[in-house]
This record gives sequence, structure tokens and C-alpha cells, in this order.
Amino acid sequence: MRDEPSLYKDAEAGHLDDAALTAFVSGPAGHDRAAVVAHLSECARCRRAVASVSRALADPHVGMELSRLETSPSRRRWRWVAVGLAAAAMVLLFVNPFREQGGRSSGESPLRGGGEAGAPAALVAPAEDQVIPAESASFVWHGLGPDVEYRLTVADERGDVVWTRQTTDTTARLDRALLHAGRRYFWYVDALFPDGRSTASEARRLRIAP
Amino acid sequence: MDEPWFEALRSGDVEGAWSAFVDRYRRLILATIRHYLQDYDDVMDAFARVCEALRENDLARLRRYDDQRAISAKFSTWLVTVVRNCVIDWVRHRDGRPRLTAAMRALPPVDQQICQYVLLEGRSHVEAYELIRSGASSLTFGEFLKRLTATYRAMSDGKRGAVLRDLAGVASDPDQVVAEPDLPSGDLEPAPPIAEALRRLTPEEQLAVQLFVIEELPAAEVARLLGWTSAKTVYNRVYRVLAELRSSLERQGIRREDV
Repeated sequence: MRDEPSLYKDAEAGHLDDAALTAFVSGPAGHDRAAVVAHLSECARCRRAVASVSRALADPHVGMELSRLETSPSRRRWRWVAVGLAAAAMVLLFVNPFREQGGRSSGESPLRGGGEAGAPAALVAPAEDQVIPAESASFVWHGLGPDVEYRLTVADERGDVVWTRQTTDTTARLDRALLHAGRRYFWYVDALFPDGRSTASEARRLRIAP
Repeated sequence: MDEPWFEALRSGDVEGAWSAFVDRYRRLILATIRHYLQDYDDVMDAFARVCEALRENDLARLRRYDDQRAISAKFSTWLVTVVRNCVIDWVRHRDGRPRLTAAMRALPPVDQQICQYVLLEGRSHVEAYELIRSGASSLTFGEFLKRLTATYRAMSDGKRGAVLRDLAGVASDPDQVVAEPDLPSGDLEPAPPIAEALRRLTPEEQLAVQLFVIEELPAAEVARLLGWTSAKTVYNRVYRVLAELRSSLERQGIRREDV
């Protein structure tokens, strides 16, 4: 059991330290909250720090990175390693070992394939900053070869995930009810490789037509 | 926390932990720095400073987070806080002394001097004026105040304002700066009668007014920080408090133009 940290531990001249500031910015829970509120009401420097961190967290680019971290490889690594191992076992059990290597299935997306393993998926549409009508919010990206799955994530300006879809295809269509007219969103695609690795594409902005 | 870099740190693999940490958080660190700084060289220099600060003493700062986990904040939020503090520190003291950022260097010469003295060195407005005058400038105090207002306005414009708010506590209304030329830049606070009236409120009410009115945080964010139900609660409570403050000040014979 860890000791509760002091709000002022390692802080200069009685100001809130990094942990206390973070705890306050993170939300109303937490010990010694009344003491922190009392301190903030008196201390312009700490209050400015709270406002500053709050504004930084609301920055869409920071929010986008926070959102990406929420779904990033370190949290799902082991799940995907397990998926990869299961997939490999299935291949060993059922696939004809003398089958021609490197072929693509006839039903495969024309955009699929050709990508280097470990490379991020290249986004196709919508283009950066494109304005799109809510009723036609379709997303397209280049594939990275067979057995790769993709997770499309759409986040709002605060970085909150609005929608995520996992698919083996290289397109996805979003339910129009989830997007609001005139709002700006970000989207990116994580490629999930059978060996448990994953890569993240660039993030693009889009705006829903008013 | 179940992140691999932290497990490596606990097991004593400092270099492995650092490598995994940077790999995972580089983009968040850079995005946070770019919130405060725009110039590419500034961003890269600040990034180096952040890395240096985090690496010090075998990642002591990262270890400290582990010691403070009882606070139960997300690591990424904590990291944004730490990066913000490093950036502010870097802007104030890069290369060992306060220096102008690229955005400041784009201003006219007098405004650059104001940035140097007021924003970076934390001097009072009068002191800054005297220093500028001692440099053979014929600037009158009235002209200085106009330049001061223009400098605040220029440096608060758009994204560049993010770091300036922190450095100087930029007033939301530049006229407030002109009205109080003696106020040290690092402590811009409400005028004394208002500050005195604020002290009669509960700490929570004071903080709500300060975050919403002075720091200009959105009402929804103030509500979240204070654990209030909604932005509407902030509007209701802050405007009620402001009305009470106004009445209280008027009863004391203090009018709007007196503060």
C-alpha cells in the first residue's frame, strides 16, 4: 500500500507539484481536494498552471495523441499476440502447405496489398481538411497485405473517440447520426498485423458540412 | 500502470525503459510542445529540454510518478503537465538566461524589449519603461503603455498566446494592463477592491470566478474541474456571485470606473 502523496511534495515555495496539478485537472475525485481548491483560489501561479494544462488538453492535436494512446499497441499488444498465434495455428492446421505463395484472393479490395509489413496504412479519402456531408462519411485507405486488420478511429476535436470500427477491408462507412454538422473531426487507421505488431497512420482532419 | 516501459524501469533497465517510453510518448510530447510554441527550432530545442529533464538521474521524474500513483491521474495527463512546466521553464531560461522566442523576435524592437523585460524577466511595467528609456529611447510613458498593450495583444493572438498567458498572466482585456502599470507582470490579479470582495466568497466560488472570468476557461471545463453538474451551473453561480460583488462594491461607493 502506497502512502498518499503530499500535495506540496517536491514543489517549489509551496506551490502545487506536478502530481497535485494533474490530479486536479483530471477531475473532481481525489484526496485533499478542498485544500487544493483553497490553494488555487489564492495562488495565481498554480491557477494559471491549471488553466494552461486544461487548455493544452483541449488542443485538438494533443487530444488526438491522447486518443491514439488510449488505443495504442501497448494496451492491446498481448491480445493481438494471442490473436496472431491463434491465426498461425489455424494456418498450420488448415492451409495447404503447397499452395502458391503470395497470391491474393479474388474478393480482395483493389487497394489491398503491396504494403510493407510494419509500415503504416496510407490514407486515401477523405483528404486532409475535406468538408464532407454527414450522409456520405466514407473512409478509404491503402491495404498492407493479407491477414492485416485495420482499426479506423474517428475522434472529435477534444480527442474523444466518436467511433471506431475494426475490419479486414480498406473502407468503412460511418453512421451519419454520429457526426454533427459543422463540427471538425480527426481520423486515423491502426494496422494490426498477425504477429501482434501494429502501426498507426497519420491523422487527418475533416469537417462535416453545415 | 501496465506499460512495458514502466516494467523495464522497475526491473532496472533504464535505457530500455527510456527507449520504450520515447517511442510511445514522443508524439504526445511534441504535440504538447507545439501547443505552446510554433517555431520549428524552438519546438526541437524544447523537446530536447523535456527529454533531458525526464532522463535526469536515471529517469527520476518518471519514477516519481510511480511514487505518486495514489493520486490516480492518468499518466498521459501527468506527462502533459510535466511537459508544460518544462516548456515554460525553457522559454524563461533557455541557454541559462531569458531569451526571446521566434514569435517575440518578429515584433518591432520596442515590443521585443517589452517582452524581454516584462514577460521573460518578470519586471514591473514601470521598471521596464525605465530600462527602455535608459537605452536612449525618447519613448514617453503614454507611448510605452500603448506599446505594452499592443505587445500583449500581439502575443495573445492565436496559438502564440498559449505560452504568453503562462509567462505573464496576460489580462483578457488589454486595457486592464494600461490601467495598472505598476502591477508586476507575473502576478496580474484583479484590482484590490475586487480581490478583497473575492476573498469573502467560498474558495470554490472564488476559483470558479477566477477560472471562468480571468483565465477564460470554457464554462463546461470549469464545471468539470469543480465537479459541478454542468456549464449552466457555472453561468448561474458565477453571474450570481458577480452581481453580489457588484452590489457590494457599489454599497462601498466603488464604481466600475474605479477599478
